[in-house]
Amino acid sequence: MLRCLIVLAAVPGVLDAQDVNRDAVDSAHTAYLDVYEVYEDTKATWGEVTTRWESLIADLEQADRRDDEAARNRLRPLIQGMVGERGDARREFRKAEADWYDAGRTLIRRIGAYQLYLSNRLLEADEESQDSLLDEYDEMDALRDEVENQMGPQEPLTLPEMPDLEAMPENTPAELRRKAGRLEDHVAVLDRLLDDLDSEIGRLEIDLQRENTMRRWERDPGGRRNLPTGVGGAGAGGTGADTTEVDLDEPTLAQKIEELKQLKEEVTDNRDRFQERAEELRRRLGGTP
Amino acid sequence: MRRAGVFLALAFLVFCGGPRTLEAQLGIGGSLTGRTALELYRGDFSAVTHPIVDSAESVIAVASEWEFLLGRAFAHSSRRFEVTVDGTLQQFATAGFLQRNYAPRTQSFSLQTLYTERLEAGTLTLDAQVGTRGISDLTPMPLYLPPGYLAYSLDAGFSRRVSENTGVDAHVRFQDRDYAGPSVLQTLDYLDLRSFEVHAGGDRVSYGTPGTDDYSTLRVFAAYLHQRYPLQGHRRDHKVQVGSRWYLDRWETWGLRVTLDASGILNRSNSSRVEYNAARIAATARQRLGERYLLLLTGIWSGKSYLGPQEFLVPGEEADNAAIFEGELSRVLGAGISVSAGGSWTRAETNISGDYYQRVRFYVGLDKILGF
Repeated sequence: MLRCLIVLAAVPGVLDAQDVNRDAVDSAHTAYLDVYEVYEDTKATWGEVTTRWESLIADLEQADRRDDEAARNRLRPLIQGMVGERGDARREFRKAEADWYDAGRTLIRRIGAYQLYLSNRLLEADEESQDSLLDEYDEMDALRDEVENQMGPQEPLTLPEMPDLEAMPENTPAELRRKAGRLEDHVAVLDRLLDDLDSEIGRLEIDLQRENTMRRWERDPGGRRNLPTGVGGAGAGGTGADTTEVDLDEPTLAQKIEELKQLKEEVTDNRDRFQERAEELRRRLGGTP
Repeated sequence: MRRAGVFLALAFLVFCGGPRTLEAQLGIGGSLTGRTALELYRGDFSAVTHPIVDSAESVIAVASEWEFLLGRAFAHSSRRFEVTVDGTLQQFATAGFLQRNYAPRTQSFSLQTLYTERLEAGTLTLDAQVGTRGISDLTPMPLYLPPGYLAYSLDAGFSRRVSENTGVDAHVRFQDRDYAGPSVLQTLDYLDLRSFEVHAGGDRVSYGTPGTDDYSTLRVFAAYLHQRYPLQGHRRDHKVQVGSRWYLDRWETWGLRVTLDASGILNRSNSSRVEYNAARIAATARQRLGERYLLLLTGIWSGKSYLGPQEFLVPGEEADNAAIFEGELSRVLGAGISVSAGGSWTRAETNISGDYYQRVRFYVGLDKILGF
């Protein structure tokens, strides 16, 4: 125990004495593996939702090109209907990512502390013991490498890049023009989507204001319905509990508006990025339309 | 005011702290309302709330009113925790009293915490509330203003769906209300109340046109209340209440929501003078008009019949028979602001001597949605 405490003093970060042993490393590893599994699941879900989302956006783009009003009317509600699902998937993925990162950092800290403890023991151990201690030290090294490789750089959660629309050195002016045109088409689609989002947010905000007025009407905060002489009697007051079962999964209007605003920000960022890239391509073409 | 200060400090701590085990999902949201009202009071009703009798039969008041509501919710998987704080400030200027004109000011605050957890068997709710009201320069009748008090209540409920369309629920509720009267008005303490309630009900949902969110709910409930008025001697009231609520939601197709409440009360007591039967009917309609308008209408009627002869209005009981009609038209202006204009008519009478109290009120106001 004393050795553990000495080691602890040398270990950066906050670790309790009971965290500096093999069991602590094993339990952190088990927790890490559990969290990693959840992370992989939510990442797959996010990927699948993103693929569907992109496919809908691409369909909308095609419908715009064909000027197919029926397809546009069919696709816009589908895109708006995916907002909630996409928000949930993104939230869960971000949470799982943060949990995974925390679990990984904890495991690496415990491995480091345990390796320091092992190296202290190595100084005093006989030759026979030294072999087993070195084996364990190497095992910890391997585990640390594995976890650090898995963690790697964090993937940003953004709408996908469009690598096929990058300007490549071998591109001819005609190809660059085609790419710039496609980017501008995409910007136009996103502009229409932003218009739809604005009108949907506006509609929900009006609904929210109406809900607010109706809630105020129910609450009677100024006590305007109180009657002489008392309060809580059997007159105009009385019992009437609203016990309708609460639907915890149903997002509130404020939540829906927040989701749409987040989506709008995301779409706006991407729109601006595509616009910049299109302008860059046009500049390379020397302003040729 | 000291009590209000303590209350606000408590509200601040609860509101800004929140539970550490639940992930915050939402910011702080709410609303602020400012309103100007013109009120006309008439009547010869005598109330327990003021020692002075002014023989004016009608008075007029102009009121400036501010209301705020702030709420914050925390949610984690099947659990949800909500904190709500609301407050109201009213400043009146009066005219028409024979002795002197009054300038009453009222402030009321309430703090509500609501915990909801969805369990396998149903949904559990725990609701704790504390509220306070203070008033200065209290007016005599006919300008009735509710007296100051400190009240708290605790409610535990459980509800579950027994089929796709049917749910049942049960609640137990405890409430304590302590009226704060000036030393010259100790009779206000007669209104102090402790109440314990057991409440059970069921509801059935019927869905409207397929493909829409239209639905209606019929709810029936029964409750037993045991009420004590500590400063009215040994008085113990036993109330049985049965009632129903019909709620129609045609918001999506007609822009209409309607609520109808009907209930009856049998009040029995070890003090025979407060034994009565009472009935109450209330209706509220909310109608969306066009893109931005909203019409709100409410009507309430209540009647009471004592079993024995009454010589005076019993402290703690409201006026015997009352009717309230209210209406408001509001318009969404944009940027989270709505403007509203409305009016109400209230009349209360007592069977004892035919005394009455009447209030007519007109107002205009602005509502602002708050979000942080």
